[in-house]
This record gives sequence, C-alpha cells and structure tokens, in this order.
Amino acid sequence: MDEDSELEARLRRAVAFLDPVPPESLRVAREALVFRALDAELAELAFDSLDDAAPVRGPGRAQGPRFLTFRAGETTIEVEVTDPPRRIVGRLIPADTAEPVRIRRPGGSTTVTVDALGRFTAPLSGPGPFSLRYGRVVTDWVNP
Amino acid sequence: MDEVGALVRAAAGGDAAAWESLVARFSGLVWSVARGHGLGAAEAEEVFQITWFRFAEHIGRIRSPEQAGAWLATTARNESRKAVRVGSRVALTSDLDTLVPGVDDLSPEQVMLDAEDAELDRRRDRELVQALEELPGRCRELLRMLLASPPPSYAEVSQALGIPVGSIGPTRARCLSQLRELLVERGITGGAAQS
Repeated sequence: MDEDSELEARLRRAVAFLDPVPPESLRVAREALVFRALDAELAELAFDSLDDAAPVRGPGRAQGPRFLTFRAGETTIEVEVTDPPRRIVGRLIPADTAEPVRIRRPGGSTTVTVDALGRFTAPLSGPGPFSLRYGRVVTDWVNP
Repeated sequence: MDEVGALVRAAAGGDAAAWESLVARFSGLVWSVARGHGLGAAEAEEVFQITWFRFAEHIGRIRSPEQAGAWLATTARNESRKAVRVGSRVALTSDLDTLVPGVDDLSPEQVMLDAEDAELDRRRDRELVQALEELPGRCRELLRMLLASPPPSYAEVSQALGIPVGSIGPTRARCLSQLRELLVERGITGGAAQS
C-alpha cells in the first residue's frame, strides 16, 4: 500500500468511527419511498431566492423571507416562506379554487383552502422538508 | 453500475428491498457530501433527509438510472450549498466531542484495560478528522466524498463535482499531501505506523 492509500485508509476508519450517518436520518431515508406521490405531475423548483443569496458567515441564520417558484406544465405555484413566524404564503397560477392545497410533511399532511385569487396560507412548524400538492400536481421537496 | 440501474428501476416500481439497497449503497456518499461542506449535525441531517425525499419523488423520472449515485451526490451538493447560504448554527469541529461514542457498553475491567489504548486511538482519530476539516473547501469536499463508506466511483465523483475523471487522482494526491503537511506541523504522526 502506498503512502497516500495508507493515510486514506486511516482517515476512512476515523471518519467512519467519528461521523457515521445518524441512525435517525437513515431511518427517514429508508421510509422516504412511501412518501412519494404516485401518478402525480412533478412541479420542479424553477426559482429559489436562496440560490442568489450570499453565504452567512459566523453564527446565526439568514434573515428575511424565502421565495420559491414551482412549475409543471401550465401550472405555477409561487411560495413565500416567512420566518419568523414560519409560514407558507402561496399562490396558484392560474387561480383555481376547486380543491384545497395539501401541505405534505414527513410527519403528516394538512390541507388549506384556496381563495378566489388562488392564494393560500398556512403555518409551518417543526423541522423537516415540505412539499405541496394541488390536484394532480405535486412540488419538489424543499427544506424551509 | 448496471446493478444500480436495475435497483433504481425496481424501486421505482415499488420494490422496498431495492430501495433499501440503494439507501445502503449511497447513504454514506450523501452524508459525506453534506459533511464535506462543513455543515453541523443538524444541517447535515436536513440535507441528507431531503436528498432522499427528492430522490424518491424523482425515481421514476430519472433519465439515467444507472447514474443514481451521481444524481444523489449532485442533489446533496445543491442542498448543502443552500444550507451554507442559510447559515450554520454549529460547525462540525465543535460537535466532534459529542460524536465520539462512549464507553458505557463495556465492562469496568475492559474499560480499565482498554482505556489507554482506546483513548489514544480516539484522540488520533479526532486529530485526523480535525485536520481534514481545516483543509480548503475543495479538498475537504473531494476527500470526504472519497472517504465515504462504501466509496463512490470516480465517475460518480466526476459528475457530482463537475470535474474530469482524470483530475480526481492528481487532486486527491495534492489534497492528501496538504493534509500530511498539516499533520506534520502539529506533530501528529500516530496511526497505522505506531500500532
């Protein structure tokens, strides 16, 4: 074994010992397949205000709202995540009030009604990602 | 790689065992990408989890199922960059202490006998990981990926990092030599040679 491979082997052991994948996260990953929305049209993340943001140095989190845009075919879902308090303020384009919007979380989902202008709002409590479902359209998962 | 493609197609069809195999095969890689960005435990877990949620949602739509490893690493990388922009609360180096497994499971006699050796090994491991954390971002990211268990292929690393396969070897050598200099500077020579 050459010098580099030897050092790499030592590092691999150290990393595996000190920093394994946390069991709780591994459990979540194993269960992730059951959360997928079968037969849905996926609205991918087309815009994320975080992509243009400068990194935060030192302690503390970025302040201000986060803006997200999801698109699937003719449907656009615009979302603002406020923090604090952490809330979702969204809008369906074109506006459509036929069904409620479902807010999907790993811990369970909730529904909110859509107003005449296609707007909806809901609190977003606890950690973990969210995804929205409206009719046949489901958005990509996002960490708020 | 063909095997990965077959697992992806089976998991897309609802095969839970195939999904478990993919998680076992790539969870180390996804985790190492998040840690390679210097994220603390909480942020790295968020990145890890959302990467798998996204993968599950996309699994029937992925254009090259055999390249699922690269897809996962790329997604983890994008999410890690977002997490860096949001800002981290805890750096990895400051939660290294809590990462060290305790000795509670051992008998008192065993602890007496092993304590010194184990303590030495643990300190060495910690010094190594500490030095790894202090490398420039690109080196840290590449080395952490290569150190994943099981290790990724160079093709997966190349696609995830957007660098040619041919440059991985030389970059790895340069980064390891930088790490070695750091270890020598600190008088850290312990490890395989001493045991």
